[in-house]
Amino acid sequence: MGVIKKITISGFRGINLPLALDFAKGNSLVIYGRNGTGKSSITDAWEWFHTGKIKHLAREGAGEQSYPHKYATEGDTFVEVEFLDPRLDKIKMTFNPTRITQPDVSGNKEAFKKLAPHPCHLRYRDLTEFVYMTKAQRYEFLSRLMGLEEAINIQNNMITCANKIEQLTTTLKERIEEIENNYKTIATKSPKLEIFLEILNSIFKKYNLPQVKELREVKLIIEEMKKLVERDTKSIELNRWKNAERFVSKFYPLDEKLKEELAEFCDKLSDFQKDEKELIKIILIDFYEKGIQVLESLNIYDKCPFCDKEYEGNLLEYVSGKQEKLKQLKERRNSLESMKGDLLHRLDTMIGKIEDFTNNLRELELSDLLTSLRKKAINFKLSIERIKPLLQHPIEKIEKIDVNKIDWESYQYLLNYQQQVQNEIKTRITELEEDESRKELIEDFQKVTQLYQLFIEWLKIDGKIKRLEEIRIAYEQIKNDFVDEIKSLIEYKFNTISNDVTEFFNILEKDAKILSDPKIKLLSTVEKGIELEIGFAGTIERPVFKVLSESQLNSFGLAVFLASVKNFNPEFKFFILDDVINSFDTYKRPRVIELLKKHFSNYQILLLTHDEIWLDQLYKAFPNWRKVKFTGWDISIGPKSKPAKNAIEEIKKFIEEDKPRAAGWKLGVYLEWILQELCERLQAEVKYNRRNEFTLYELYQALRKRLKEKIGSNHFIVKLLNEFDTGFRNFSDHYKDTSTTFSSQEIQDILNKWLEIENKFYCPECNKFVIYQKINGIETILCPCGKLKIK
Amino acid sequence: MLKKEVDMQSPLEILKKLSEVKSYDKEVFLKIKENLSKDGFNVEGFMQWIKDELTKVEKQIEANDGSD
Repeated sequence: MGVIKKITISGFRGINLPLALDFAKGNSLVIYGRNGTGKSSITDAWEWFHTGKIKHLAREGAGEQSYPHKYATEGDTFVEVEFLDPRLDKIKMTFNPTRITQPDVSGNKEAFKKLAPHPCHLRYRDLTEFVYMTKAQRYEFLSRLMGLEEAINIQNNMITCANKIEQLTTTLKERIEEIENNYKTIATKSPKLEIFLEILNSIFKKYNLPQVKELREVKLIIEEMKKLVERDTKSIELNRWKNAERFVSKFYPLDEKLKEELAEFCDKLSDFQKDEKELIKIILIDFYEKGIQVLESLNIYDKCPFCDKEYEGNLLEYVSGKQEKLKQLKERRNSLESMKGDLLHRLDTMIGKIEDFTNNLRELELSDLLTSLRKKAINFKLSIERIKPLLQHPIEKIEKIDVNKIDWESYQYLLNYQQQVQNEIKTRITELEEDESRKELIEDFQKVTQLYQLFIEWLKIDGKIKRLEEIRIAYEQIKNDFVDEIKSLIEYKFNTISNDVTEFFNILEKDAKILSDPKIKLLSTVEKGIELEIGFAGTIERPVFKVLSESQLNSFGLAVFLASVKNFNPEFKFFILDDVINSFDTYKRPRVIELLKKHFSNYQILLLTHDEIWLDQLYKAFPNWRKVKFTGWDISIGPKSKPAKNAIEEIKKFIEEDKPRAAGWKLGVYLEWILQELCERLQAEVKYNRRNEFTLYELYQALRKRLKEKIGSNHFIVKLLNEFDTGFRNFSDHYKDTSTTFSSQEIQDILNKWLEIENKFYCPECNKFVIYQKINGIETILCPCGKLKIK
Repeated sequence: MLKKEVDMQSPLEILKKLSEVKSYDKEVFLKIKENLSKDGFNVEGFMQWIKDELTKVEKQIEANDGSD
């Protein structure tokens, strides 16, 4: 049995010096360490080794550059895994600082990926996040757990692309509408080739110009018409003034409030940026939101549920206050972003207007005023083009904007001379139009050239829209089929594992008799929607969040993960559980052990935990697992580790070191746990205690009384328990009392006597305590495998 | 739904199998396939192809109507 011999991690995340996790001959391994001792770096390293990425870091904006340890130099950052399978042998993945997404790999990584195609690690945070996910996020989460990450990424990209095609279609449709409106203003009809040619032919006829039958002939006849205009110098001039009139009327009115509003934005921005320290915390708003939800659901306000640190005061109020402040800051930020977006749009519009105006006027130096307006417009455009890039950064990163560097003088000139230039043009046109025939020719010529330009533009956009629509329909068909296929794959995969999910969930939640048969449902009406349903008190409830607690939802997530590992990595019997029991109630943690024992006894497991009680339960249930304790963490080293001991080994060590107080305290905690376990399994009646705390002696008495009832006072176990009373009673009353001292020898005597008793209840074959059962009136006290029988 | 002997890990394989049972626009299908890799679907690449296609339309109209 076993898959992995050794994992060595070096220079990675919180691990600097090489850390070797020795699994010996493929045993499972449990690592105990308080928070902050570097355990999570192991899971990160495994994820990187397995997938080349670390998802949760990517979500937080930390990319590959954050993988190496701060002190690691080139070649120091690597993960090496020695497998028991000779086909895999040894695989080493080394971080490459020059190509951070392309690590150097030695060994047969391809073979490993084939054997382990699915995720085989699960973190506590994955389960807690699962609780608060939206339907679409849950869909992605479950899909990823089932190893469909790549497909999901592609699905998301394809949906994004569909949206972009939609946006492009909208832009083109807006543009064609604008062209149609301009065209209709001149032609009074919508653009259509036949009618377009008809209008033009009626004008050409007036000037004895040839009639056109096809679009390609139009340009030539317009050239002919231009020659007519050019025969008379005054007609040429009138045509130019008419053009100028058109360009000027397109240019004006200008954005009169631009200066004022740009200055207002700069003031608000500078005020906002004064809160620089707080700004970087905006990213924490969601975290605070979740924190509030957790605190409210746990109803604990004086202790941090994540790190267990005590808090003086009301933690909920503190977190809510922080969140409120950040919310206000975020609102201000959003308001500035929106202002910035508006200003950028206005600057773009202004630049576009000026470009059209100045290009069109280039050949039309009809008067000093027009020449001067053109120059001023160019100066103003250059000055706003210098400022614009500054506004394109996110609000936090915009450097100081000096609005005075904009050429407002030129801008003011453009505003001031609007009326004057319009009057000048009007006067000149009136003078030149005194000759009616000239007036008509120029008006017709203007009409023909404008209609032609607009019609060609309309044709181009119309052609683009048609081509885009062809692509869009074909793309949508492929995309929809692909998305449907991914959905049905998820359903197929879930069906494959659903029996296991149900069984695993039922083990984890066997005390919740009211729950049954968890199922996953794909919502066909939503593109990416998934919902969970469950039997609750005889009816089907959906979504499950209506009836399940946070801990029960986590049971669901864990059940899906384990079932996926079992079904989709059938050739690779290894997985990592990183602190996953944190969200489970104490009484439910043995269920996780039961599940692992029953369904994963042939698996190799790397289990990371910071929970000491759970650790002892694991040691008891899996005596063959290797044990490592992280005693601390040092930036220049990483985790400091040593072989871990179980509670009994630790008590013995304290006795050896003549530390009776530490030994006594540890023994008291240990006895309380074992006695509670025995009282529960033997259904001993324990006197009700409102504080929900029991003294050791009450538990001991309840156990002895129960055994007397069931196996009689003369049974040797009851006699052993009677003998144990001497010395134990005094110990149970005073082991927490610092003023009473016990000698190491006294602790040793109690321990020896207790171990003799405990061994009578504990089966070394199935590693479980005996349990009382009454079936068909027959009472038994025996272990689950039946090899240890008391009654 | 496709038969499940398809390699479930490979979206490219899924797409290939889909094209065998459905009749898709060849050009669009080919471009989707070209922009598909292990890292996902290259949205920018596909959009660039669309923009190139639209420019072609524009050039074609200019050539046909003599506006150039």
